[in-house]
Amino acid sequence: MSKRMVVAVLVVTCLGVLAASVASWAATDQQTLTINATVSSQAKLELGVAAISFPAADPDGTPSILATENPVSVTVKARTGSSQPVTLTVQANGDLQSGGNSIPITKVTWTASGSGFLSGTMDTSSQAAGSWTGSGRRDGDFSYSLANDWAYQAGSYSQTVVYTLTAP
Amino acid sequence: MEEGRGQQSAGGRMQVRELGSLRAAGRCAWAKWLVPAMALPAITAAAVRPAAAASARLTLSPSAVSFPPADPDAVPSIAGSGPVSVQVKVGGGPSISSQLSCQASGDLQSGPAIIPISRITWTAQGQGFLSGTLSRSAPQLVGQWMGNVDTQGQLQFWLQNSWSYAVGSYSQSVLYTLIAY
Repeated sequence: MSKRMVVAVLVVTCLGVLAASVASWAATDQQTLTINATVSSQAKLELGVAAISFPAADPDGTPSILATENPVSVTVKARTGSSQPVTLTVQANGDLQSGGNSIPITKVTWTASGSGFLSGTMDTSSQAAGSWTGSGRRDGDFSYSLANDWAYQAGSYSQTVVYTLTAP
Repeated sequence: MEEGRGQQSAGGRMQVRELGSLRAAGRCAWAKWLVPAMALPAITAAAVRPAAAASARLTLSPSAVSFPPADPDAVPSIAGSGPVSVQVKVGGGPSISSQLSCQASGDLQSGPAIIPISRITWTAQGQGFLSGTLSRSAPQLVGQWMGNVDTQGQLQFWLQNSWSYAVGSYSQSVLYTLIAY
């Protein structure tokens, strides 16, 4: 063994003794804190506008009338179980009405953009407008169209549709 | 015993000539050199130990924090119940250093659903106490002091709210460690 190795052995031994002595006089104490958090079910639906309108147009020149407010932003926020379905539906309260005249509500369609949002046709029965799984915030757009027709009677037509967001 | 490095002759002179012959003598030189080395004064732990051993005591009150449910739009950051009072006592003299750290055992858990533990932060009040963010991967510094300590601080916890959290009752434990050395 060389002199350097002997010196190294002695130094290491001394340091080991020193380390042991340091550990023997250090002090520690420990305590545990418990963290609890509760997350409850919640659902929130936001539409960019409360009303849309279709302007008058020549059926020959404009066979499909776009709503003036297109695109309409839609935001779906839901908290539910991680595997639970989240659904958005729409249902019209009736046909477009102007006094005694009506335009079938099925003449109104929409195209959707955004993950999970669905395109469709208005109806007096519930129609799917979006489908997701689990909690989260989803943003999309709906663009509405009215099929134009010479058969429509002159008038100012209106109707309400109800969007329903469901998150169990 | 032959004289060598580390020893003196009766006249007080250091005998260095012997080392010259050590280098030339090979294996026998090792034995000659080792004897003088073993004659050196022994360095023991007693010679470097401080005058008094350190003491440390940690108290948390309460021992649990709860976050209530809240609308993420209305309450983007949920305040936890509390604050938690932390009492630190360290003894051992002016040369003692002490540190308080914490580390979570994992993320907030509710069955298979989790909320990352890093979504929880705390703000601290009190001398030597530090604010921070909980972590499950590494201890986080909560406070540090020098010398004897008898102090109390308060930790207020906050949970970053989000629509992405699954419904459930979440929990996790956080270990606080006080060390004085």
